Amino acid sequence: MFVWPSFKTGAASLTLVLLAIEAWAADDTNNLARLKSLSLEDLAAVQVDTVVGASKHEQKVTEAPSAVSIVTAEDIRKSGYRTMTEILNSVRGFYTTSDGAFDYVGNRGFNRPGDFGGRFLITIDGHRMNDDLFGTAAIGTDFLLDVDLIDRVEIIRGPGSSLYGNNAVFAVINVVTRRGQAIKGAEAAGAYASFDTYTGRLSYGNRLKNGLELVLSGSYLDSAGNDRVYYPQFSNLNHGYAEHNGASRDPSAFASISYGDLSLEGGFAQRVKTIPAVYTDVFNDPRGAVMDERGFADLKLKHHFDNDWEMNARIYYDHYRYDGNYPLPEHPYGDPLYPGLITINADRDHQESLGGEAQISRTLFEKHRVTVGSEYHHDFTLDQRNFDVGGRTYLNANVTEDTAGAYVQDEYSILDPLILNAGARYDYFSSFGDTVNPRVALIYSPCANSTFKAIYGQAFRAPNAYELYYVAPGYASSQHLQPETIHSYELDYDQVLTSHLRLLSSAFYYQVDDLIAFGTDANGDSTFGNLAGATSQGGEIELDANWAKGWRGRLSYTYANARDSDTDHRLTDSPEHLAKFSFTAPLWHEKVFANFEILGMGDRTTVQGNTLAGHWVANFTLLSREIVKGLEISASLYNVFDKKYSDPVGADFSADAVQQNGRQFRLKLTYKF
Amino acid sequence: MPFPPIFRHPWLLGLAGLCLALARAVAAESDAGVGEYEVKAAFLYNLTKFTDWPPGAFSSVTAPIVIGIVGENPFGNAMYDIVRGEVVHGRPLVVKRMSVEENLRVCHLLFISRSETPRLSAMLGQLKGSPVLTVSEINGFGDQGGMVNLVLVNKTVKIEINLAATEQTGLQISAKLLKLARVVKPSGGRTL
Repeated sequence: MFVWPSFKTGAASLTLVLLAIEAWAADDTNNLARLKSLSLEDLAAVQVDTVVGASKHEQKVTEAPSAVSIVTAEDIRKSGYRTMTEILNSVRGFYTTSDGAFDYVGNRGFNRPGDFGGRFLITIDGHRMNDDLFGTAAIGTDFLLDVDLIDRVEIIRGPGSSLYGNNAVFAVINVVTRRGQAIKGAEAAGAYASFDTYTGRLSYGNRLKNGLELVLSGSYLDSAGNDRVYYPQFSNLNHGYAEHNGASRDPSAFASISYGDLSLEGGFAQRVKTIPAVYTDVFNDPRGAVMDERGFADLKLKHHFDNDWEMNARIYYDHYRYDGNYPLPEHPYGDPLYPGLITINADRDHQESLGGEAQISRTLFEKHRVTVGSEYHHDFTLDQRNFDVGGRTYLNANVTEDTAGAYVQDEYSILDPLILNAGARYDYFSSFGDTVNPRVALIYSPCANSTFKAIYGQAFRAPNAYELYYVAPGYASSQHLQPETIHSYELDYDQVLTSHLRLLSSAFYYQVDDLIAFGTDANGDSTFGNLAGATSQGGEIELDANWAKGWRGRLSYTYANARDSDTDHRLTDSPEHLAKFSFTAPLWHEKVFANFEILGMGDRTTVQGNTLAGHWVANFTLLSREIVKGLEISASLYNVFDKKYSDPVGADFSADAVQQNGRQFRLKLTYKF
Repeated sequence: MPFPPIFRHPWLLGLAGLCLALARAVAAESDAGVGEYEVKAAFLYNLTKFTDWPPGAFSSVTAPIVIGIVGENPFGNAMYDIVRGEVVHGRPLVVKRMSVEENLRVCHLLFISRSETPRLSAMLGQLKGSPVLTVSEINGFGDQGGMVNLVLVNKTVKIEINLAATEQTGLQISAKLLKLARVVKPSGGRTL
């Protein structure tokens, strides 16, 4: 049986293995051979590697005013990623935490348990997915899009409020969907995985002769959930095993149609999931469930005028519904073995909003690429209700909200190797007033292979509807809340070492102020206030190796020292060390690939002050393509060595930490016709 | 299982490996997907296929087509890799790195790098009348008298051709290429 050596020798041998392979690997001429054979028309249609999100227009990754990582559709298939959670978990410096119902993403030491993760902005083709009730964008199975529809994910680190406004604190994660032209036909996919999980997808995409491009897709997930999660505090009930843990159903649909300058895109997903026993103190009650329903439609118009003006405009609609049913025991602090008369406490939350954005950009005076934009957003429904089923109502808040923003950005090519990217955005929120957030970046490329970046930025997270309007007996309203602010300083150095090897590195310092936290006011009531602050500093380093025929290696390490400003204690759920290793090997004629991924995390503290030991998890995927024409088969093992580890949860949970899944498998078939 | 006190040391070993790798630095381009310069290199290769040089441009029937790159080389090895073993119009292809002081007229196709932007008009003035196909990616190249410009539009590479400039030198661009390109008419007063 494979025995994993100690990490010391592991890291050293891994680096040497990478270099050794590099030494004999064949020339990376695969791309060139293919490009040479293309007709002129096809060559003019080839899409090059660029990123959109960092400056809201196409630009080379090395010129973006941020440290950017890109996860492509190829990566997703070869590594067997099932959700955005797994995609983000593979990226340098990122980690995810799960409480059994929802997944939360953290970066550079920041992922406070109990918060709703509103410090990461997630967009689909530029459309903001964070809701206005909790400020969260789903990343687990509740994410709106089936990951098979993703062309690439652009992870743009650092403060993005100077362009995107709210939530763009630690990163902007832009998910770009596959174009109809890329799908070129129909696809059917089906998979069976652990916990009796069935997933299916049917998609059609194409680009017609007249230029009309179309994508239509529907997916479904059905899972019985992990029925063997052990909770020691309930060892006298059913031997401590919860049987209705995370059973879920998740239908979703996505469509996009574009013709010329106009495009219309929309999606819908509804996930129902039973909640784990630790959400409330009633053990093993199948009535505990949450439902997340998210939908959107986005109409875009873009036009490139003859005098070099480029215009982008869109109007959009968002829908979000959250329903939660929580079985509560008769006596909140009583003996869990005797819950008494159980009441079901219910959350019913609803958001409907409309908005529009317009943006123009142009190159001025030959060296300035200027972008100016404005956005308006109106929540005409922001309802929150909390009541006991068959009993009293605790919360019934129905409000509307208006937000408006205006931004400007200039990308100034001072000299050929030196770019200054500066911008700022003004935002007005009807709930708290206004905020201005600038960002300045200096990008220096003395030669084609080296890039230095120095970035300063400010970002904010607006108080969400839940924080502002939540009232209940013993809870006072918090309508005076101000946004959280972050000041971020970063230095990046990227170096292409050889034609196959690339080094990326960053050093960062973040200061977060006015963190919204639960506290007690003068009357002794619980209330939200801008009470806390935190700092995070550290550095990260990554080695990327890309050889011919699909050989790939990636090694990264992140050090983050994140501390509470008042107590100087390390933040909860903040690992000081993160290390990731990934390796892809073509096994047979570029038709079969093997991918191996190891994700390691240092120890973390919990809300109750305990320490969760560090751990590492290994994932393995075998992908085979075109063995039978049009068929793709993938077999994956997640948490190969069945490592037992837990994630910290928020203060309102009965437990301190939730045990995560052990070894799981997935067998997936995709057929193109 | 206690997490071994791994992180106090092993990354230093990784760092040692890194230094080894750094010592091997060789300029080249590397990207996970299709690089912009891989596509531009393919376009340069295609330009030689779809261009006819006037008689007298070559010293013999078997003289190679010389592709010169003046200024910073953004292609890395791509240009060298793409012409290896190729024969166009019965001639082999050869890539030469040129410096500004050299006689640029030995080239049949000259790629002028963005780094040469300040010297652009002087360079094009020097080449005026010679059957050298000038190619670049500098904004407004056509306006300054350059012949072919490769521009990045919506993540794809497009060609802009200043037909007047090519016709003045006897270079013939195939209709197949012209069909795909955007023909640029230099703004009045600055035609070379």
